[in-house]
Amino acid sequence: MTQTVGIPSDVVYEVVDGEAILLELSAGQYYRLDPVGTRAWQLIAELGDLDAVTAALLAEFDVDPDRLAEDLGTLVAALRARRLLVPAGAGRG
Amino acid sequence: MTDPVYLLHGLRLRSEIALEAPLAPGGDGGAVHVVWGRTGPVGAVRPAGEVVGESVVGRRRMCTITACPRGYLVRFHRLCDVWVPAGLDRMILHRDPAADPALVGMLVTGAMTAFLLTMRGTPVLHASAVEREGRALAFVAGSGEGKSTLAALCCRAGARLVSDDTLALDLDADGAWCRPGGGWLRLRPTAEPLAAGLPALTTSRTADGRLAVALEGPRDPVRLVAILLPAASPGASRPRLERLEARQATEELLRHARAGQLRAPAAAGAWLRSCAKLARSIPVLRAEIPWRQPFPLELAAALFEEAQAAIPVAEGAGAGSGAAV
Repeated sequence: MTQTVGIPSDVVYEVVDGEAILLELSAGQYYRLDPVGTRAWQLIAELGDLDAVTAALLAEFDVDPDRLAEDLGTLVAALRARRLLVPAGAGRG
Repeated sequence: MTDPVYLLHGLRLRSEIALEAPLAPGGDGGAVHVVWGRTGPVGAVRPAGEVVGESVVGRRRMCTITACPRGYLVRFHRLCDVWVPAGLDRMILHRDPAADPALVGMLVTGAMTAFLLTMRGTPVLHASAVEREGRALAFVAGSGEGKSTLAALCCRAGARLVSDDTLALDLDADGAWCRPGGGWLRLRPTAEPLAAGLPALTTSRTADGRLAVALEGPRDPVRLVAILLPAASPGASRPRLERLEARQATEELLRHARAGQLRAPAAAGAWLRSCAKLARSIPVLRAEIPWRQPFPLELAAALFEEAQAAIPVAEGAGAGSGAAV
């Protein structure tokens, strides 16, 4: 899954009680992530590279690698569909 | 002749246009200058530039804010264009010839002051707040959802008005402080009967047809001890309050920015962080309010009692005179 993603400049977020609240400014929508999704989001924000994110999550969670890759792929696709993530270097202003 | 300097929500405004706000002590150092620009037609289309905020009621666009490197243009459709340079130190008012100057003054003391404060990083809630014995309760709600009515009920029962409709806050390590507003409570026609029981200094009629009641209030910031999200309940017999979890409270507060939802990332990020901090440090309570006129005088006392009961002892006793809210 060699792919690098980033958070667009018009997305802001804050973690409250272990759950991220994401605010997508161009559409004025906000979203909430569950605690595992929040951890993935934080690692994506920090690392960008999805292989590195996968490795970090595998180190933190006792989970089957294939299952993790599938779940992370689903999450990233959902976030990209809502313009909460973009390919690295494609940040909107 | 020197223009008067007003103090509103902690913001000093030196204004060519008369404002319904208290005069500021001292000089005009650091004041935002409010001046008239040209008078000419103001359209109902979005102005050029990047849209960073917009207010729509139903299908009608009420206000659009656009940004360019030199500053911001705030268009109140068919009423007034306000140019704010990037330094956020001036408001230049370009009025439509048909717009009532007093209504423009209300835009300055309301939406424009909230916009400037928000862009400067101060959280501003769409809320009214009252104070009793050194502690403040805030009523956070949208337009026409009971903020001023509840503030009036509380003031009839002995509380003092901190601010109406616009609530600017200073956050610190322990919580939040409410900045005093202009001292006016504005009541819609349905709530006007409440004015009879208020210790009014004076009354007047606003440009948008409300009854404005001037009330004596605190001059210094007041510690905020609880935020109530009122929900009118005609069938309820007494207030019922339920504390929200921090995440849910954050989401509720996010919806109630007085300046609307700004798309400028720095301001939006600051607003999100402020809401989260408020939600972590101040009890945010969903408040079911018995809602039928005439409102009984005991309602305010019951509201204070329920709020006090919903606030954990450590939070309720944290500051102020030690008396209960």
